[in-house]
Amino acid sequence: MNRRLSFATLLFTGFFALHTQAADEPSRLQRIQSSHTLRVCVWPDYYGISFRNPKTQLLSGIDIDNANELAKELGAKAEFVDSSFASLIDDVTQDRCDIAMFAIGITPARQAKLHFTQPHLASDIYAITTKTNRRIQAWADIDKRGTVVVVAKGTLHEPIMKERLQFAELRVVDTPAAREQEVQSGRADVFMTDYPFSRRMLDRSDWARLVSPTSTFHITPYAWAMHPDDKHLHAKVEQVLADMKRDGRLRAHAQRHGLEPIIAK
Amino acid sequence: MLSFWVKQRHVLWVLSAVVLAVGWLSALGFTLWRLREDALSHGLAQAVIHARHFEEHLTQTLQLIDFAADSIAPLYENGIGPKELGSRLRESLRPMPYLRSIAVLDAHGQVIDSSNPANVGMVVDLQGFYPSQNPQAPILRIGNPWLGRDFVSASMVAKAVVLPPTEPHLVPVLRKLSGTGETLWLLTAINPDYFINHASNLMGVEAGHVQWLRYDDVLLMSASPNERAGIQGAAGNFSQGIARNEQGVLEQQLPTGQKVLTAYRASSRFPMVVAAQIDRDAILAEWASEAQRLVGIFVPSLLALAAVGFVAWRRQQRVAQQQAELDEERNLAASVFETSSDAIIITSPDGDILSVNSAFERVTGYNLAQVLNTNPRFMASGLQESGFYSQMWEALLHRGHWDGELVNRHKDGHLYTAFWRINAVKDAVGQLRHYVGIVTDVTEKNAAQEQLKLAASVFSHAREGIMITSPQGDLIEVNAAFSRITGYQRDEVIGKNSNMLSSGLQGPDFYAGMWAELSKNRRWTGEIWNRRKTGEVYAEMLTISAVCDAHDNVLRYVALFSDISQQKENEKRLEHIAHYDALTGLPNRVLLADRLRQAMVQTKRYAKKIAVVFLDLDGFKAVNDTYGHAMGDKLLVELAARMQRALREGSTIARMGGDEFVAVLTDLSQNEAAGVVIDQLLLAAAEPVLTDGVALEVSASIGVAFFPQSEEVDADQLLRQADQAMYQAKVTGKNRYHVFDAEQDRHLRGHHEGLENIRQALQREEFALYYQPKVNMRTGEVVGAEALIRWLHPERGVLAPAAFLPALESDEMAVQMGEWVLKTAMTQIETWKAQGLSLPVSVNMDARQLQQPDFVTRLRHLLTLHPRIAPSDLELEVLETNALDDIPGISRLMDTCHQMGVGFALDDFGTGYSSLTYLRRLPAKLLKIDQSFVRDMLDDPDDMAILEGVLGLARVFRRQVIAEGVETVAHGLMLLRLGCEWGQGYAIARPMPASDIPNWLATWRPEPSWLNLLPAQRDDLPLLFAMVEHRAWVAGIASYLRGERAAVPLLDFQSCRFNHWLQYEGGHERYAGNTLFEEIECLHQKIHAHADVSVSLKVQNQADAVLERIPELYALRDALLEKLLMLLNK
Repeated sequence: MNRRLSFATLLFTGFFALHTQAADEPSRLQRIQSSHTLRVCVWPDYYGISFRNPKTQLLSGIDIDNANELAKELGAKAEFVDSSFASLIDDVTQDRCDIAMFAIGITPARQAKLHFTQPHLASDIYAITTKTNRRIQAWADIDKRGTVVVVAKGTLHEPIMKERLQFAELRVVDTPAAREQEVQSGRADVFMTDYPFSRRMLDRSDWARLVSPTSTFHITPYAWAMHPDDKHLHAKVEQVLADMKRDGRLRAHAQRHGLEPIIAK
Repeated sequence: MLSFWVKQRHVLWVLSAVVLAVGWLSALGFTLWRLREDALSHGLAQAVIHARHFEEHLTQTLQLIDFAADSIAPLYENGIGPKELGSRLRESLRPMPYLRSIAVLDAHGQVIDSSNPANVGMVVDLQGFYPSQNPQAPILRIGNPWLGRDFVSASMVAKAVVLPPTEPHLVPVLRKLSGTGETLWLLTAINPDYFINHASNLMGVEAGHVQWLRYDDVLLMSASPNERAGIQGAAGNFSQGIARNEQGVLEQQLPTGQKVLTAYRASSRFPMVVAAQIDRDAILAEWASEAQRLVGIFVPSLLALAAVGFVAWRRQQRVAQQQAELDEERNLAASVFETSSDAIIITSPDGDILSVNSAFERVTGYNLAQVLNTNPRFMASGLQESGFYSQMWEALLHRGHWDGELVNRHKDGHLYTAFWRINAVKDAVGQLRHYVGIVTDVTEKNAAQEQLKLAASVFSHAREGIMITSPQGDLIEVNAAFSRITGYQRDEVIGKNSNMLSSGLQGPDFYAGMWAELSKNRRWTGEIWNRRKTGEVYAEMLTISAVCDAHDNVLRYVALFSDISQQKENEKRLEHIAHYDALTGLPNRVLLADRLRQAMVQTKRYAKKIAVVFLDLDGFKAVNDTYGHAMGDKLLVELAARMQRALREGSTIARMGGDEFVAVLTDLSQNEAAGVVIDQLLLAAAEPVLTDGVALEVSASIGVAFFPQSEEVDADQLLRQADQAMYQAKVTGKNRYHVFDAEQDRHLRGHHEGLENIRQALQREEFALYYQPKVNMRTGEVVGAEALIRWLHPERGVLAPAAFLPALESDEMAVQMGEWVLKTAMTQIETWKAQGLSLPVSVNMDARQLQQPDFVTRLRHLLTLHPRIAPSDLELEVLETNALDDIPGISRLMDTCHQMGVGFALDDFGTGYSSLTYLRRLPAKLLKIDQSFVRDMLDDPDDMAILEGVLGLARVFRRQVIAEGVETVAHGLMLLRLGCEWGQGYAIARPMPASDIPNWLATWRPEPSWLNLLPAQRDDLPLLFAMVEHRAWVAGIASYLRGERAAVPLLDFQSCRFNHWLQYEGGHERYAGNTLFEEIECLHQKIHAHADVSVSLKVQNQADAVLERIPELYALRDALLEKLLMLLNK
């Protein structure tokens, strides 16, 4: 009896709240539901997360699946907007998309500008070198004099590696692709990346070799990011994420893209 | 044979196995070799593919650099490029991961622009690039590898140096930029990792590696972590060939020591060469593992195959072994079947014969072909009881076997007893398949058992004692008679030596002789004195025979003996009776005759004389008449004793009967020496004898005859002479002696029996006819009698015709005498007829009488006078010699007489040399063989031959034959064997007075051995002759031994005529199979041996020993003849 009453109260409260918000401000959530469109920012080069196959131009990845699932929950259809880590904050804050869903590492800098959901993934940092590189055999070989380490500008790796490297030269390039070129041409020895991208390198490049840290180096939680003001949307997204985590949809998506090891607890 | 085939099969098996294994291994080796070749060629092909691929990759990459140079050149107008060229160079470098950096150099080698701003300003040595020739040409020139990541950080070298493997290095590539006005160079740094990575992705490190070399053989890059850039000759030996051919393959060993398959290929445009080195060991490792797998499959399968083969071989061997054993068993069974001495019959369950062995025919007479598929009941004799066979079948059906004895019938009809063992043969499931019968002919065995029983019975019940001893004489068995005779029980003597019975009466010589003979002849027979248990000595006739084994070693002695003490006693008594006068104890007539003969023989030998003294008592009859016979006997006893005392030792006096005595005085040197003894005898006889108080007085008349005389005389004649002389002494006054005068005697004989005496005698009817019966010896029938004239001389007794007929030879009285004989005979026939006897009588007719013109008339007349006589009752005998003198006359006479019914016989046939022609013309019905032939036929082969010839003649002319002079049974037997049935002679009857004939006829029985004796077959005649030969020889030997003959008959056994018959004249041929024959041969040899010894004794002058041996000689002869007769009778 009490429970039924509580549930009714909850429903009522919810209705009331929505009603209140809708009444207070033309919320993003209302817009989404009315337009039946959820604009989702993705980085189309993020293999396993949100990757556009250059040959088919189709998107795939855990967060594509998640985004579609989320849109469905919101009664909308996901509409993907190309973004990148470098343009992420602008894209979200300037309303180019309703939500950024491409496994965005929760960093303090981003947290200051964006409203993150609970992390759905969490990845450590990995190094990619060439198979033929004879100097870099293990993680410990990286931070040596003469070694060139590349990171993409704007990625969470940039500040971390700046902070961490003592002997090796850190070279920051503009794009993730450039860091690959540096390593492949031999101008650099390794570049730093996360778990999903390292997958992509191993799957797609015959020259790449993964160098894993021997112990945890720096685990970064990944989540989705929204405009800091979108409280209703954020709450809704959080609810859906919690549901997906609970009912296994998230795990199923992770499994599909080989990311089960990094599902957030 | 067996092992030969097994060996062959073994060899075949081993060969097959070896061929299979060799083939298998060859196939394996070939396959491995091929696989290896394939692997190597595959490796080479792989290397070629790699080389081509990497060369193309290299060439395209370098071509991109060439294009880049072409695209950069236009930027430098007047030798000055645009600002920000560095970033443009960086942009252009972006899609070229094979380049580290790009730099543009001025003519001095100073970097004007570079993708890496750090490079700008540095100076590069433009020397050390290949090719260095034609420096103005806008081509790619390859520098020595530089250590470092980029130009600015690199150690530039003009000459190639060996670089450390772990540090990054670059390969500088220089190209003159064309169309730039001023000389400008484009310098690029080739990223070796790019190529190495590319190669590593395509080629596993372990499979081999790729080398990028400058055309002048400097190693620029290597996928192998072990190779250092900058070295020369890293690719091995290909550089020599590259000028000739820009691509090729070779197997080689690299300076690193690695063995590789190399494919090299020069870039089509640029001065670089790519070499793909495939690790030969890796290639072969794959092959090796494959080979290992193959061997791993192959060898176990070969082993498995070998194991299977071995098992199969063993199995086959076992099968062959079993087969061989089976074959052997079968052969054995077949051999047993065929060689069995018992007949074996195999029948179907219905009893039909399926097979029999060869012994079957021997036992039953039937062979397999005759009995196949028939029921064995054809052998049944029909003598078994009715239920016998049904019981037999019942036993067979219920118990599966039956055995027992059956009387069967042999094919040739005779019955035999067979022991049958029949077994039912069932197969594994108990189904009846066959009956197998084993048939043993036990007829002989049963007979042998019977015989054994008989022998045992004989042993037990024999009246003779029987001892069986060991070769040493130890007693093994004795019979009941032994105990009865010796008094020893069996238990007392078994195991003891037979000499325990010895009496000690015979000396060691006797026993030595006995053993010697035993060991020589295996037999000893003789009389021996033994001692009973009671100590009593007794005589026994003992025969010891040796029982020998196959090697003639003595196993046993069997001794048979009978107690002949009683017999000895009797013999002694009989001998005494036979030889001594019962009353006086003097030798009797028989002994005297014997002694006389001996004495006569002695005289010849020692040139001494003997005197035969015939003594007749005078007046003894009066004593008898006066005092009775008892007194007479006492007188005779006393006188006999006296007379014996009167004689010298060696002389004999015998009582001849009544009051007649004969003394033989021996060892006389002269006739006169007898006188003294004779006087003594007269004295002894004349001395009165006081008997029962009466003095009896007689005297003696003595006649003396001496021996030898001028004429040959025999003992009888001597006695007759002495008798005659005694008669003379009596006539001349008694109590005296008279010596026979031989001369006077001869004289007297001529006159005494003169014609006058004969006439008177005829008148006084002193002549009489004696009759000698003629019989058929075989049937016993009396066929007639011959009338023989005798003169019953009042003084001289009965005289034979020879004593008086010669006087009549040329006298008329002969006719008269003949007529008397004829009349008397006819009267006699009539008399006998009256008595109911019908006995034909033959009468000897003198030739003179037959030649009387009226002979026939007179004969007729006589016959009419005796009407009861049938002419056939009368037979006339005429001497053959007489008949031959007048054949025509006699022949006519014979014919005439025959017409009357009176038969004729030719007497003394054989003495007249009758030719066949004569015999044909003399129609005598009967031939009388002269007794001279008959008498000697047993001892004279010539006479025997004549006899046989005569008999042959008689058969040819169909005349009846009769043999005269049948003196002994033996004569009769021989005659009968020769085919002469009729005989006449002493062995049948002596001539006897007519009055004796009826009695004789009533009592005479023919000799049993003659009855129904059939003539010998022609083939046996040689045997008969052989017998005669032998008798003749023995007679000759005996006569020599007795001194009656000077020459020794042939002694040699081999050249003996009897032996000749034995060996060559059919003896051996005709009788060899007979067991008797061996005995005969043996006996014959024994006789010769005996004769040899006797003759040698004779030569040594051991006369007594010689004479003692003669009886044994005769005994042996008779034994031999007996055997011969047995042989004949068989």
